[in-house]
Amino acid sequence: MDMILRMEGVTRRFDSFILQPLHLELPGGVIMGLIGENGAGKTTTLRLILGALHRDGGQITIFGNPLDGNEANIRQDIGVVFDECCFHESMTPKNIDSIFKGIYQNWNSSDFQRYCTVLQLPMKKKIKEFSRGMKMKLSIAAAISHRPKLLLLDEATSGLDPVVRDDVLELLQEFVSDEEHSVLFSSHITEDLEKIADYVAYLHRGSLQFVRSKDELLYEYGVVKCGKSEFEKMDKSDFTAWRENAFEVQALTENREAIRRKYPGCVIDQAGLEEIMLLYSKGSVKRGNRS
Amino acid sequence: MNGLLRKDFLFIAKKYKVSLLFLLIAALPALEKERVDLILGVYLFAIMLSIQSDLVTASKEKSWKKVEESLPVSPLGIVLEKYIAALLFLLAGSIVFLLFSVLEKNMAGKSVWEALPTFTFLMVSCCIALSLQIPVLYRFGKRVGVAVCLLLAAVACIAIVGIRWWGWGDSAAFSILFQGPASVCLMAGAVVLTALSWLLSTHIYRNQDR
Repeated sequence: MDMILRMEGVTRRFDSFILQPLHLELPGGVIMGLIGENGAGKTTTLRLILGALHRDGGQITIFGNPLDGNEANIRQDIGVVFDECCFHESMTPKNIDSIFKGIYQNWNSSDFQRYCTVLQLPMKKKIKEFSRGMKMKLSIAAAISHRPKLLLLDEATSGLDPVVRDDVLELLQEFVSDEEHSVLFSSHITEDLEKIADYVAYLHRGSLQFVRSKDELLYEYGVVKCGKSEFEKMDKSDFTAWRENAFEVQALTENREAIRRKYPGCVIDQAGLEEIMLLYSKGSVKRGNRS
Repeated sequence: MNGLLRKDFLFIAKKYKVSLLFLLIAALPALEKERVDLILGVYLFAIMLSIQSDLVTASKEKSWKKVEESLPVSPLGIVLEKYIAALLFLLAGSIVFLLFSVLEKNMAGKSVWEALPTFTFLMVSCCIALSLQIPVLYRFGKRVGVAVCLLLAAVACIAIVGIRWWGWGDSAAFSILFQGPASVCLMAGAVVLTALSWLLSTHIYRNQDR
């Protein structure tokens, strides 16, 4: 499968934050969710991909071309949606169409108008009169109307109601359906990623903890729930991370079936992305899993 | 870059349409009283400073900066677009000023060539103002940019008062500087200063938040 994006040992150091060497590969035709708590490095990763931030080390290859002073050309094939609508409030979708027509070589006005019609966005209404949901739909329509090969979303569904989020997710699934387009979707709304992501990458405090297929995560990972005394008797090396509260211990395993066989009496549930994220970020983590 | 220019023109047109209309209305009575340089010149200069400020700061404030970073345009092109937009607005305003000045001189029975020194003065002043203001706006933001804008406006007011009432406009030095070959040199100097300012602004823009 052709790689749309490849990041090899990419690092970036700020005064109060360090992005550890990041290795990430995004094949064509997939949606990859980038999860992590606030400040984990998701936006930094996206800005590095765009070439909007200098990297201290490593290599980024997009569509087979190393990102090395040619960011502007490569961005012709990248669409970006941010967590807010960044267009001037006095503009209308019609204005946005005429602006982007003069920026992107592959801008397709009829596609943009079609998306606006499908998403019920009036072409001549000012953006300041739009609801937040409509603004985000407009951002997405604008981001995909130049037919980018790679779409980056930075918390694009946060603050949207379930109906609008569902519309957005449907649009994304349609976008990747031809196997030539990919989406890197940074979000902490894990529910959205469980619906549409093919792969999930988890960033924690600037360090990539894992990249796994979503199905693998949901079908193989599990959370053991037991009492403290019961957990003390278990082998800690069977678990990736665990967390104690007043009533019980929750422990994350990467092989639910193996644990079920080894500890037949214990309660073990399927692990959701949110539980995985919480256990990694707030629980104790097995040595070697966290830098 | 066409799209970025279109964006800025739409934004400025929407924001300044009332001011520009007022400018034209205010300029009409000024024709008869031979006050085009005073009313139109000062107003145009002030509007130019304000437009330059909006071109840069509106992009930074309204989250457009995020979009800019994702566009297929280099930092050099993004900053160049701001200068082109500012210069086009300046050119359009100056042409209107020149037309009114020529009309005014004609109505007063004077030679239309007498309108040239003030026109050149306005163009050179606006270019210098633009060259100073845009890098300051990129480097220090709106607050310091507005302070520089007010300082420049004060200097412009003194200059206009000097030209109008203190006899600077009738002096030989003014005519030599802003008419004939010297004015061409001054204009060329202003263009060079603008180009240097563009490179400086690009350097500032490229190294901001990166």
